Amino acid sequence: MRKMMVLVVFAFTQVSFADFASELLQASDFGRGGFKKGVSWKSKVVSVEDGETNEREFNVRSLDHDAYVEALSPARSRGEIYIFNDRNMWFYKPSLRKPLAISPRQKLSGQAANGDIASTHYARDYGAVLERTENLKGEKVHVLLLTAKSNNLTYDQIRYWIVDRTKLAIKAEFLTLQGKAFKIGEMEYQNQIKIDGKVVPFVSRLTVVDAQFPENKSIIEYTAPTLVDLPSSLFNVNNLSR
Amino acid sequence: MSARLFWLLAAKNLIRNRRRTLATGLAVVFGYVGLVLLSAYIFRAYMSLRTSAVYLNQKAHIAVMKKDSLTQFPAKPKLFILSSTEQKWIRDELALFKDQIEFSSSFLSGTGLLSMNGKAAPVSILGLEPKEYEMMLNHPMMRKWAPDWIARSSKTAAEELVKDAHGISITNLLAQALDIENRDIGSDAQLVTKTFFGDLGVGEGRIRAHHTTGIMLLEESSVIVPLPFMQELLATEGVEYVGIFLNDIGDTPSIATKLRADLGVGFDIWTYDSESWSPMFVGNMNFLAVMAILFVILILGAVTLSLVNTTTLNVLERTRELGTLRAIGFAPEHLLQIFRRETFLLISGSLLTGLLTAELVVAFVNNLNIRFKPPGTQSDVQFLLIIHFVAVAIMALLVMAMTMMATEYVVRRKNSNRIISLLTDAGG
Repeated sequence: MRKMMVLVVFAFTQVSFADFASELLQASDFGRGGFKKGVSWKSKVVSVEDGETNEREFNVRSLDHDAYVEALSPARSRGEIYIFNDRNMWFYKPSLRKPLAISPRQKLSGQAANGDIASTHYARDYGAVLERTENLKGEKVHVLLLTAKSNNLTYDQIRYWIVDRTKLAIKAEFLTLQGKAFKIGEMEYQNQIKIDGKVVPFVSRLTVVDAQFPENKSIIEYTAPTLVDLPSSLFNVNNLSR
Repeated sequence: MSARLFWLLAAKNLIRNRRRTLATGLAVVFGYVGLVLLSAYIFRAYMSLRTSAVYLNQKAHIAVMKKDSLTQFPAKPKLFILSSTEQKWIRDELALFKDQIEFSSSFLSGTGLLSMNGKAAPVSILGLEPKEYEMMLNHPMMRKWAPDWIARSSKTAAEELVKDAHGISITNLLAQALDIENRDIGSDAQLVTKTFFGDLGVGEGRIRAHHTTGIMLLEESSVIVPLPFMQELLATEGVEYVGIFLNDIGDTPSIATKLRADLGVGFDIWTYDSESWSPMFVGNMNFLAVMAILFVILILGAVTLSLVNTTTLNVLERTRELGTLRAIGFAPEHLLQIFRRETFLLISGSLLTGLLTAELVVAFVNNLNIRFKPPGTQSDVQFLLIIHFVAVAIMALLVMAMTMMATEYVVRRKNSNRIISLLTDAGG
């Protein structure tokens, strides 16, 4: 009887931790555009790779799990469009007759992958397990291990640091299937956005560094996040074909 | 003692010892036939391999590229591309050799994805100039030395790419991987690469033909497109290398040397027979050379030993005859002259017989139309023997030289004996 009680308490604890991890993850998505209303922002990606720097700018419009990303600069990329439709990703440019299916894992620029420029819905796409709680930059943070629920996501595994006080993610280690970190990301939240009368922090910068060659990095700067009404037809890839 | 007398005595001696003459002659005939057939095989293999390396594998007679591009281009194409300015330098330099150059052509390669029918496959893409590509495949040297090394489909691919600036040629295995069959020729496809700016490069084209590379490793990934299409995909005006095709392959070393001097240290100039540039051709030729040397040594060794053996027996059995000739006034040098002439007549006759026999064997084998598929060929090729008369003459001279030396050695040793010893010698 006693053993049964211990087992039940243990199982309940595990379930509680799992729920806690999922709730943390869902809350952290908010800070990176993962909400059900339409939102738009501009992203500037500055990448340094092997001593060379290049910059790209995008206009991002996101609604729930969908995103419409339009390249603004450099001039040669103007008119290029990336559409995130559920977990599928498409690329289109005016010279193409129909859009091309691409992978969110593909490199966009430097250390930034295609999947990095849209909003984040880790709660939907990843299973979360609480690894530990620790101190980071003077804050109590929970370290979650996220495992991809399907194999067409940007990353297979992510180790995610979420601040207990703000419920915002401030650090991420992007892991290989073997659990080795190949990229490290750090997030800042200097932006704010008003949702349902409440002002909430919004990501302002994501710095992604190559774990093996730290001199290679990409900085994604987010500006002007705004709530907007977006029609669902915007994210219909069939509307892109000539 | 006249030369005519020596020839007469030599001929009569050969006729007198018919059995030994026949045995020795046959040894030389078979040995020489072996050498001629070996040289015929190697000559054909060399010409076919060389021709296919230059034209079919697009190595050209001379290739000009950026320094270290051969090893570095795949990893850092942007750094090792030949820019428009550099291409102009090269073209200006090639104008100096316009009488010696048949044509030149540019090439650019990369990797990417081929997307079609909702499926995608990783591919190696080669961008080339379609008209020049067609010239390479239909070149007179290819028609003469390697006509069956190219699949018909590859020639069709070249013709189709000339007509369509966004044409795409893929291999059959790639078509299978993408669930494409021949009826999808003309269907749309998309090629995806990374441009030199690091952006996504996407181009739309049409499947125009199926080609084959002859190399299993490439059969699952090879795609050929017109050069401008490839440049569009990579967002560049550059090329990977410029291939130069000469009127006379013999001009290769001199032109290559001049290009190295004029273009300077910023460029690598490779010739079709450079091991780094053309490893398959050079590797095959090294193997054939080793094999040839081994067989020539074996055959010549066997023939020479046989000659030494029979000549020794010949001299030993005729010791008293030699003593008699010496006694009636023939000097040792005269006896040597007779034996030399005997050997010369025997070997000449044997070589001629051997050559005629070899020609018959070559005609017979070629008529059999034996087919096989060596690596690097796009279809079955015929096992052909082609006699090259310079090689045949060299072999003949080698055999003659070895046998004359054997005769010299044996006869001189016996000749050094005194007349009385020769006359009383029991022949042992």
